[in-house]
Amino acid sequence: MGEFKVHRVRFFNYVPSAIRCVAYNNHSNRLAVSRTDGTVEIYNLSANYFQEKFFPGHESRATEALCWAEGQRLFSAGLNGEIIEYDLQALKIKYAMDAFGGPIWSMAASPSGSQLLIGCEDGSVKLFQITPDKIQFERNFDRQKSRILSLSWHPSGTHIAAGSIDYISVFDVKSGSAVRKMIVDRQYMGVSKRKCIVWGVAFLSDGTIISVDSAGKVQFWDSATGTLVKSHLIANADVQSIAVANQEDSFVVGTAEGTVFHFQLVPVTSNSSEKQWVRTKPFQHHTHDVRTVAHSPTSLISGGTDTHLVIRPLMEKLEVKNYDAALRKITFPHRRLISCSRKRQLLLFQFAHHLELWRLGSTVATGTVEAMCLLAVSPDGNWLAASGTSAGVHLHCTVPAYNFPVTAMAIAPNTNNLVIAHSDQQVFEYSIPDKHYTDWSRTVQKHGFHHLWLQRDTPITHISFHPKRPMHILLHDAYMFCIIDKSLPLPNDKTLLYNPFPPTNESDVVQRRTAHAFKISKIYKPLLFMDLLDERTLVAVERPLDDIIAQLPPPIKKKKFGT
Amino acid sequence: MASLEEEFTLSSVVLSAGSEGLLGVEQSSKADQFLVTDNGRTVILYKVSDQKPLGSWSVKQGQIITCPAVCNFQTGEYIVVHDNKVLRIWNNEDVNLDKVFKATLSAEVCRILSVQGTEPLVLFKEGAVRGLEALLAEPQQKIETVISDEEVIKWTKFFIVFRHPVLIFITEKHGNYFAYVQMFNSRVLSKYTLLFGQDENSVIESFTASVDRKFIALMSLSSDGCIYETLIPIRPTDPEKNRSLVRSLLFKAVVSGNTQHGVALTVLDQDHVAVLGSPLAASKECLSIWNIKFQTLHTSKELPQGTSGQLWYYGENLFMLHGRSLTVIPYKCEVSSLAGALGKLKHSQDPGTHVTPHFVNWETPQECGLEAQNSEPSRRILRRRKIEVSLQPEVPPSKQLLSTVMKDSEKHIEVELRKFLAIKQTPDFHTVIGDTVTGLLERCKAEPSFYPRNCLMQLTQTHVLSYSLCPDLMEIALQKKDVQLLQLCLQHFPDIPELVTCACLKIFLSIADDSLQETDVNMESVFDCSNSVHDEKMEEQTEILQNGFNPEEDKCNKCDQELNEKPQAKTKETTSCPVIPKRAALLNAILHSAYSETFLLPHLKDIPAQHITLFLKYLYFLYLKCSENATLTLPGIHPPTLNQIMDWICLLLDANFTVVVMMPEAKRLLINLYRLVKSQISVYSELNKIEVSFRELQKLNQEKNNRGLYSIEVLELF
Repeated sequence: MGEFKVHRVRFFNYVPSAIRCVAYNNHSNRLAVSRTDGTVEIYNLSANYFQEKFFPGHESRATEALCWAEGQRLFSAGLNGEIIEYDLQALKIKYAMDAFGGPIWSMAASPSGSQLLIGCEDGSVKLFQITPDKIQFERNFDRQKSRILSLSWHPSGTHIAAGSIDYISVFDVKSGSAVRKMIVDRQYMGVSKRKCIVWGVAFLSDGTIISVDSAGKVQFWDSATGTLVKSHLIANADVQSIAVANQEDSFVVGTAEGTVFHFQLVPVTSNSSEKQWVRTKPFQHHTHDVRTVAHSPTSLISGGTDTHLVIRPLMEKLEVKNYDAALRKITFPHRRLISCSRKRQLLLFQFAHHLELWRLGSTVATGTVEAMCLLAVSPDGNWLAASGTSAGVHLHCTVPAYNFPVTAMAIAPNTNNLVIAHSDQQVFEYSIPDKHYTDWSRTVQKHGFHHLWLQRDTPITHISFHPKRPMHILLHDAYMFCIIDKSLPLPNDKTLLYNPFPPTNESDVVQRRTAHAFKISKIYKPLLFMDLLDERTLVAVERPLDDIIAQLPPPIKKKKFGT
Repeated sequence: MASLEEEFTLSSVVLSAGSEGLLGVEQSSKADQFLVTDNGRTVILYKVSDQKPLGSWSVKQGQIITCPAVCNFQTGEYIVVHDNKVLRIWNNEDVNLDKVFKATLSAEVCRILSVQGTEPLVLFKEGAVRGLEALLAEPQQKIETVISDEEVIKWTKFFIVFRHPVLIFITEKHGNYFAYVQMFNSRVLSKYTLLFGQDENSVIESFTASVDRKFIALMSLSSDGCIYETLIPIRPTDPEKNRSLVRSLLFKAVVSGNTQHGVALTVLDQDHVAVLGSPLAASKECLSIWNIKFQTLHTSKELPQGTSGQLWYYGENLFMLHGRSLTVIPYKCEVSSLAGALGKLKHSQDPGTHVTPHFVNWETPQECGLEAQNSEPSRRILRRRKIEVSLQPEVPPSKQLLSTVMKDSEKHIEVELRKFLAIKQTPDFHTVIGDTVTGLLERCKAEPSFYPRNCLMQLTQTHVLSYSLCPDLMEIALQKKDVQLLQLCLQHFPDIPELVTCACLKIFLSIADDSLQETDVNMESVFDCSNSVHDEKMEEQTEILQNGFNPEEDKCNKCDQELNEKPQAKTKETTSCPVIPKRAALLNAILHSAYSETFLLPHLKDIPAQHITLFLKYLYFLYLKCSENATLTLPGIHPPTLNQIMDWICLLLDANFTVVVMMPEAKRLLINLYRLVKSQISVYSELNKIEVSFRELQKLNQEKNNRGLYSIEVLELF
C-alpha cells in the first residue's frame, strides 16, 4: 500500500463540556444529553448509540434540568430562569420562556406528559400546562424556604415530592399545598454538616420516596406517614443523582466519587413474596462526579464531570448476548470538528464558541505555528449531497432509504460516486450519474463486512479520496484509520482483519493471497480527523484522553492502598 | 391445626351499631385495609395491622346508608348506597361524601358486590343484577323484577369460577327458601328450591358457601343447631326448569338455636368452618372452629360481652362485633398430619431398608437416559439421581472386577483393578469405578480386617471420585489414620465438607513423628528447608519482613524491647521449620483444600491448643519464607500461596484466640504476628503517603510516550 508522511497533530485543544443532565425517552429509545455549556445532544440508542442531533449551546444557557414530555417534546431549564423547548425537526430552539422564579434547579414532566413542574431558586414550585405549541403557567405550589433542587411525580400524578435543602416536601397536586415535610438528617458519620442538600428524589407508586443527598445517603421514606423507612450510607461524598426503572424494580444512583450503584428490589428469601431494596452492583466507570443518571429498560446510563457518557447494559435484561451488550463509553462527538484545506495545508478547528485556523509546517522541527481566528468555509464539488437526521440522503434524486442514520459521506472527485457510512458500520457506494449503487457496493453487501468491522463502537466521521488512486477510499473513526482498496478481494470472517506487524519473511505469493481490501492502522487514537494533504502526505488530529483529563477539575481523592 | 390468635379491638370509637350490628365489613384494594359500614351513616376504612382507622366518611343527617360500602378493585374507589337508591362513589382523597359522584337509581338496591378481578355488581331488591359500568352509563334505566312479590333476599355471595363471575343469592318466602345462581358469561339465571328434608320446623339462621370446580357448596346453619350442606351445580343442565335441591346433614348440634342475636357461620377453608353462637351447655357466646372432615372442634373462644351474630372472614382475619366494638381475631391453620401429631414424622426412613447407591455414567446417556426420563420427574435433582437411578452395565471386565470386589482377597482385587485401569477409558469407566469403591467400602465396614489400601489409593487417583460419591472412604481412612490416603483425598476431591477437613487436620497435627516417618506421603508441595538455617539469610529476611519500616523508630513497647533483648533466640525460633517435612506436606494439603469460613470456624475450636500453636508456628514460618523473595511465593512445585497462609492464620486466631492468648508458649508467636500486622499497616500508610509521588512518576512515564503537540512521522500501510 505504501508509505505516507503523517502530520501528527495533537494541538487541537478540544475539551468536551461536562455532562449535566441525561433524559431517556422510552417511546423512541432516544437519549437527550445536556452539557454544562448548554449543548444538547440526542443519541439514538437503537441506531448503534449514534449521536444524531445536536443543539449548540450558549454561555448564558446553563441547563440544570432536561426532560421529555408529551412523548417527543424536549424541554430544558436552567440557571437563567428560562424554560426552553427544542424543535427537534428544525434543530433550533422553539422558544424560551421566563418562569419568573429565579434560577431553575429542577424540572419534571407529569406521568401523563401534559404538565411540567419546575423548582426554582426562590423556593417556589411552578406548574405549567403543556399546550400543543407552547407551555402555559398554571399555578404556584406552596412556597418553600429554600431552593427546590429535585422533583418527582407520583406515577398517579396526584402528588409530587420535592427535595430542598435539609428537607423533602410532599405536595398535593390538586390543592397545591404541602402535605408532608420530611427532615433529612444532617449528620454525616457522626459529624454535623452545615447543610444536607437533597440532590434527587424519586416517588414510587406504592408511596415510597427515595432520596439521595449530600451526606452520601440513599434513604427510603414512607410518604403516607412521613417516616424514614431505611437508610443506606453509600458514599463519603455527595450522592448526586437517581433514576428509577419504569417497572420500579430497580434504580440507579450516582455519587461524586464517580461510582454508580445499582439497587434492586429482590425477594428476602427465594420464593418469598416479601421484597426489599438491596444494593446489588457498584460500577466505577467515571473518575469524577456522576451528575446525572438514567435507567432505560435494558441499561444504566450515567454522565458527569469527566465528560464521558457511559451506557452500561444490564446483562439480565438482555435476551441476546451480542456485541450490543458491551459497555459503551462515548467521549467524542460523532461528527467532524476539523476541516482541512489540501492546497494551502490549513487546518480549521471548530470549538463550541470559536474557530481556529492552523497552518501545517513542513519540517519535523517546526514548533512555530501561528494561531489565527478566521471564519472560512469552501465547499467543493459539482454535486451537493444532504443528509437529514432521518437516515435518508438527498441529492437531486434520493438515495434509497436505509434505516440507520448517516454518520459521514463524501463524493469521489472523478467518478462522482457518493460514499456513505451509516451508524451500524455499513458503507455504501452510490453512483450519482447512474443513480444506483455501484457494483463494488453490491458485492460488499452480498459478501458482508468482517465481524470485527461491524463490532467497532465509534461511527465513521470522515471519508475522503486519494487524488491519484480512484480505487482508494480513506475513512476513519475514533480508533482506527482505514484505506479501502476496491481492487483487492474482500476479507471474510476467517481472515485477519487488522495486522499491526509488517509482513516479514513471507513470500510474495503468501502476501498476495492474504492481502485484502481493508488496510487499517490503529496507531493514532483517539483520532478526531484524518485526511490526505497530497498523494503522499496525511494529516492526523489526535486528542489524547490524558490531555482532556488534565484540564478537568481534580476528582475526589480516594485511598489507593490498604483498607 | 387450626388456631385462633389473640384478639384485638379495632375501634376505640364506639360504633353506632346498636343492637342490629354492622351493615358489613368489606375488603379494600389494599390487602390490610377493610371498609366497615355501620348501621347508620358512617363508613370507616381500617388498617388492621396498625389497628387504626385511615379514613371515615359520613352521609348527611337524615340520610341513612342502606348497603355496605365496597371497594371497586379495578379503580380503587369506594361505592356505597344510601336511602336505598342513591349511589355514591369516592376515593381516599375525598373528604365529604356530599360532594362526591352521585347517581340516583330507579330501583332499590339490595347489595353491591365486588371481588378482585372484575367490575362490581349491583343487586337490586327485586333480584335484577347490573354491572356497575353499565348502570352508571344510564342510572335511570328500567330495572326488571326477577323474584316474586313477597320474596326477600336473605343472603348473597359473589364468586369468580374459572375467571367467570358467578352470583348466588338466597331468597325466602313464607318459610321456603330459593337459591338463584346467575352466570355472567352466559347470562343464565337458574332458580332452585331448597328442600329441608325431614326436619320441617327449623329456621335457617345463617348461610355460607364455598366453590369448587363444579359445585357451589352452600352451608346453612339451622335453628336446631345443625349444619347442612347443599350442592348447587354451577353449570345447570337445563336452565329453564325449576329444580329442587335436598340438603344433607354435615354435623349436628354445634350451637343452641335460641340465642339472643342469632348465630353465624362462615367457611374458612375446605375443611374448616367458624361458628359464632352459644354452645349447648354454656350461655355465653362463643366463636368456635370446627373441622368438617373429622367433625371435631379445634378451638373456641368465649365472647362474654355478646355479639351481634355477624361474622366476616377475609384473608386471615375474623371480624365480629364484640360488645360494642369491632373485634378482629386472626385465624391460622397450619398443615398437620397424624404422623406429625404423634411425633413420628421425623424418622420416616426405616433403617432396615438400606438403599444401595449406584452410579450413573454421565458420558453414555443412551438407554439409561430414557430410563431416567420415564421415572418420576422429581428425580431430576442431580444429587438424587446419582443415587437413585439404578443402572447395571453388564460389560465383562468391569463385571468381573465387581464380583472380585465382593469376594476375593486384597491381592486379587488389586490385580483385577490394575487390569481394568490398564484398559482405561471404557464408556462405563465412571460407573465401574464408583461401584467398585462402594463395594470395597461396604466390605471394609463389614469386615474390620479388610482394608484394601492400595486399591483405594489407585481409585482415588483416577480423578473420577468425589467426596459426595463415597463419603465412607474418608471416614474409613480417618478411622485407620491413613494419612497418605487422606492426603490424596484432600488433593483430588473438590467437595470435602469442613467437618472432615478439620478432622484430617486434627489427625495430621496429632500423629506421632515416628509413625509419620513410616508413611509415604507426597512431598511435592514441600520445599527443602535444610538451607534455611543459615544465619546470613536470616538477617536479610528480618529486613524484608519490615518492608522498609523500621520498628525501632516506632514507639517501643514492652514486647518490642523484650524481643530486641534476645534477637538470637528469636532468630532460631523463626528460622527452623517447626514440623517435619512429611507433616508439612500433609498440612499443605489442608491449606490447599477449599473451605467456607463460616462452616470451618466452629470445628477449628475443637483442636487442642498445643496443636493450634504448632500449626500457627508452621504457618508463621511459611509466611517468613514467603516474604524472603520478591514475588512473595514459596519454592516448590505446588506450594501454598501467601493468601492461603494468611487466611489460615486469621482463621486459627479467630477460632482459638482466647485459648491461645492464655498459653505462655504461644506468647512469642502472638507478639511476632502482632508486629507483622503492625508493620503491614504502616507500610500501607506509607504507601498512601507517597501515592502522589507515584502518580507523578506515572505521569513522567506517560510523557515519555507523548510525542508532543506536533510531529511529522512516517506511516507504512500494508
